[in-house]
Amino acid sequence: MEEKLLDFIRDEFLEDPELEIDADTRLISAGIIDSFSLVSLQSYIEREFGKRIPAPRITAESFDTVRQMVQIIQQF
Amino acid sequence: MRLFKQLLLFLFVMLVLGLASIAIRAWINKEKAALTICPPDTKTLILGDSHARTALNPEFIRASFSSAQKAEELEYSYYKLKQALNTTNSLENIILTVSYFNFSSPVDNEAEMMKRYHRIIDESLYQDKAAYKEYSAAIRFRHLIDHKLPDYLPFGLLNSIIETWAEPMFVGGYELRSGSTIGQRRALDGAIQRHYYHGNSLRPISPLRTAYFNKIVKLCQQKKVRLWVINTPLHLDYRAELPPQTVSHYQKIMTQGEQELILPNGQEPQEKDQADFIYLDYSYLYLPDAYFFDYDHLNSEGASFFSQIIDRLVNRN
Amino acid sequence: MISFEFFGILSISLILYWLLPAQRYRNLLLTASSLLFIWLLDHQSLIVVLALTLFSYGMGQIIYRQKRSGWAHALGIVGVLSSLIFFKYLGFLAGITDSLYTFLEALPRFSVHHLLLPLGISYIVLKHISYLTDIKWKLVKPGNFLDFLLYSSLFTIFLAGPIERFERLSPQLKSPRIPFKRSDLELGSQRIALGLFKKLVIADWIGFFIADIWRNPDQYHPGLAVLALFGYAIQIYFDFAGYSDIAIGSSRLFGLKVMGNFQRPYLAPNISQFWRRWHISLSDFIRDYIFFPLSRLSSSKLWLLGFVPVIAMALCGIWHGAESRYLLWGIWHGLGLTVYQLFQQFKRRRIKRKGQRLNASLAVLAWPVTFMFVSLGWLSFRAFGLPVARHIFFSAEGLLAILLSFLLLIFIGRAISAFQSRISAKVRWRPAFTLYLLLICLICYSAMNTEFIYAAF
Repeated sequence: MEEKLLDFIRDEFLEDPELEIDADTRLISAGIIDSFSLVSLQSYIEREFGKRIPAPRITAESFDTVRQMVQIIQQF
Repeated sequence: MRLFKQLLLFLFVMLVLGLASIAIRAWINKEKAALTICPPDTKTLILGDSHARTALNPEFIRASFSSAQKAEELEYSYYKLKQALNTTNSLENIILTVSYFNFSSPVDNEAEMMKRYHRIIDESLYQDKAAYKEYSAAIRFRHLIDHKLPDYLPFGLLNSIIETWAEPMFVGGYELRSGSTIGQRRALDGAIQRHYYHGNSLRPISPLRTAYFNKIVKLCQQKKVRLWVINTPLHLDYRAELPPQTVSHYQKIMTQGEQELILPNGQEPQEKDQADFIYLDYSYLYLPDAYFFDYDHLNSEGASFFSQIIDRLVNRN
Repeated sequence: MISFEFFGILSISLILYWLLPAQRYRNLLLTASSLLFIWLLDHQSLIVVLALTLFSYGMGQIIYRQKRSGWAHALGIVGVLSSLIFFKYLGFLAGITDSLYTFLEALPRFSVHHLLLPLGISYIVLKHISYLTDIKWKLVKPGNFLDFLLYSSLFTIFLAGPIERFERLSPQLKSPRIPFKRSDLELGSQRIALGLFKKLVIADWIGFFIADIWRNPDQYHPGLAVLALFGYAIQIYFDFAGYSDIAIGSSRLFGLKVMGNFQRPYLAPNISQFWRRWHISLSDFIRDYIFFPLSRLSSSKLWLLGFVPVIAMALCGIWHGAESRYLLWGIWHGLGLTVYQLFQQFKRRRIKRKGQRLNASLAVLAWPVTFMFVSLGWLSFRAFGLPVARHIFFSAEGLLAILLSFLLLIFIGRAISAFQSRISAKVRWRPAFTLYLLLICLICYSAMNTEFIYAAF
C-alpha cells in the first residue's frame, strides 16, 4: 500500500522530480502537498482501496507521512 | 532573594507611575479648564445639532462662530455653553437651535455621546442621569472611568494625554451641504422614524433634557448674554408627519418664557426688559425645495438666505 | 468580551473550579458559569443556545444509532442552519426580495422586524454542524448531554471562538480530573495578557490613528490612504488575534487546551498557506465540511479548481455577515486560491514537459504578492471601504503609492526572511512580564476603542 501511495504522490504532486520521498517524509507540513492535492489524494484512496477517509483525519497531525496514511486507512 | 528584588522593582515602578499619573492628571485638568470653544473676539456663538450646522453659516452672521455638532443634545450643549462662557469674555449672543425632537428621550448611542463630550461634562450630569433614570451600564462605566477613579491610577492615561493635545472632537462647525434630496420619500420616513419613534412607539419626553434646556436659559441670564432659541426651517412634508404630542410639549416649553416671537415678514422683534430668552419659530417658514438639502436640513443656498435673516435680527445694532 | 461580566465570571469560577475535587463537578460549574454569562449578556441568546443544544444533541443521538443516518444528518444540518439564516440573513434576503418587488410586483412583500442577533450564534451553529457531521463520519461519539452543553456554551470561547471540535474537547472533559498545574495558570494568564496587549494597545491605537482616513479619505493624500489600508490589515489581525489569545488563555486557566487560531498569517508565502494560518478554526471548518465534500461532487477540473474554492470562500465571507461586502471579500479570496492553484499546476507542467523551473528570483515576489492581495481584500471587507478604494485606484498618486508600497514590500520581505533565521532563540517568558504587560494595557486603555471587529458574528 505504501508503494502505491508513494507512486501516486510522486506522479501527481511533486514539483521537483529529484526530490526523494519515502514512507516517513513529512508531506503536508513541508508544503509538498496542499489542500487541493489532498482532495485528489482522498479520491485516489477511495478508488484504490475502497475507503473514504473523512476530511478531519486528513491533517498535518495525522496524515503527514505515508506511514501515517496507511495507519489511518486501515482504521476505516 | 530574587523574588524580593522583583517585587521591590515592581513596587517602585508602580510608585513612579502613580506619581506621574497624578502630575499628568493635574495638567489635564488645567488644560480642561482653559479649553476654549470659540475664538477670542466672538460675539455670537452658534450652538445646536445638525440643524444648526447646516442652517447657520457664520460667514453671514457678524462676529459669530459655529460650534454646532452633529447629533448634539441639549445636555451637552449646556456644558459646551458653560465652557464657552467661562473662557470667552466677548460673547453677547447665544444662538441655540432646538427642534421638535430635542426633548425626546435618548434611544441609544448614549455612551458614544459621552465619549465625545466627556472632557467638558462634569459629575452632575451623571447624577442627573441617574436621577432621571437614564443611566445605563455603559454610562456607569464612563462615570467610573472619568470621575470615580483615583488620580494615582494610570488607567487610560495615554488616551487622556492624546485627547488633551489633540483637537477636541466636539467643537463642530458649519457644514456646507449642496444640492437637494427632496423627493426621496424613503429618506423622509426614515428621518421621522429616527427622530420621533423607537420601534413602533413614540419616544417619550425626556425630563432631563427639559431640565437642561432650563439650565441653559438660566445660565445665559446669569452671565447676562442674550439667548436666541431658533426652530430651524422644516420642509412642509416633514411638518405634516410631526407627532402632535411631541409638538405640543415643545411649544409648552418654548412659550414658558416671557416672550414668544414668531417673525412675520419684515417685523422687528420687540425686546422686553425681563426676557428669559428669545424664541424664533421658523419651522413654518416657507422656503422653496431648492433651499433644502433634505427634509429637515437646509443646503448652502438655504443657509445663506436664512443666516442673513438671523444676522439682521441678532446684530441689528 | 473585554468586560466586567467576562473577567468577573472568569475569576470567580476559576477559584471554585480548582477547589472542586472531580472533573464532573467542575464541568457542571463551568456550564453554570457559561450559561450565566450568556444570560447576563442577553436573555434571548440563552434561550436560543439551549434550544439549539437540545436539538443538536437529539439529532446526534439519532445519527449515532441509525444505520442509514443520511436523512437525520441532513435534517440536523438544515435545522441549525435555518436558525442561523433566520436570525442573521432574513433581513438581507428581505431586502433583496424588496428590491426585486419593484421590478416584478409579483413577489409577496413582508416586513421583517429587526431581530436582535443572538450572541455567538455564528460560532455555535458551526460547532454543532461539526458535531453532527463528525458523528456521522464516525469520528466521535455523541457523549453525554452535559458535556455537549458545556461544549456549546463554554464562555471562554463563546463570543469569539476558536471554533473548537467536540472531538478535541470531549476527552478533556471526560478525564476524571484535570491535574492542577502551575504552568496552566502561568501560560493562561500570559496568553490573556498578550491578548489584551494585542487588542488594547496595538489594534485600538492603530485604529485610532487611521480612523479618520477611513472616514474621510478624500481629505487625505492617496498615499496616506494606502498606509491606512495596511494599517487596517494590521489592526484587524491584532484585534482578532488578541481576542483569540484571551479565549485560549482563559480556557487554559481551567486546564483546557483549545486550538490556536492564528499562526503568523501575514508571513505566509502564498494564499493557500495564508488560509492555513488565518482564523484557523474557521478555515479548518470550511476545509473539512465544505471544501472537501464539495470537491467530491465532480472530478471536472473546472469544478475543483474554479467553483469549489470560490463557493467555499464565498460562504466563508457570508458567514461574517449578511452584507455584500463580505461576499465580495470571500469571492476575492476564492479567486485568489484558484489562480494560485492554476499557477502551481503551470509550474509542475513546465517542469514535466520542459524540465525547466521558473526563474528562482521570482520567488522573492511570493510574499509581497500574497500580502498585497490580502490587504486589498480588506478594502471590501471593511465597512465604508469603497470610498477609500476609489480614492486610491482612481488617482495617479494612489496607483503610484500602491506600486511603491509593493516595491517596499519586496524589500521588507527579504529583510524578514533574513531576520527569521536569526531570531531562533525565543524569549524566555518571566511571570513578571505578564504583570508589566497588564500594566501597559491599563495605561493604554483607550476610551475611544473601536468595537471588537469580529464581535457581531
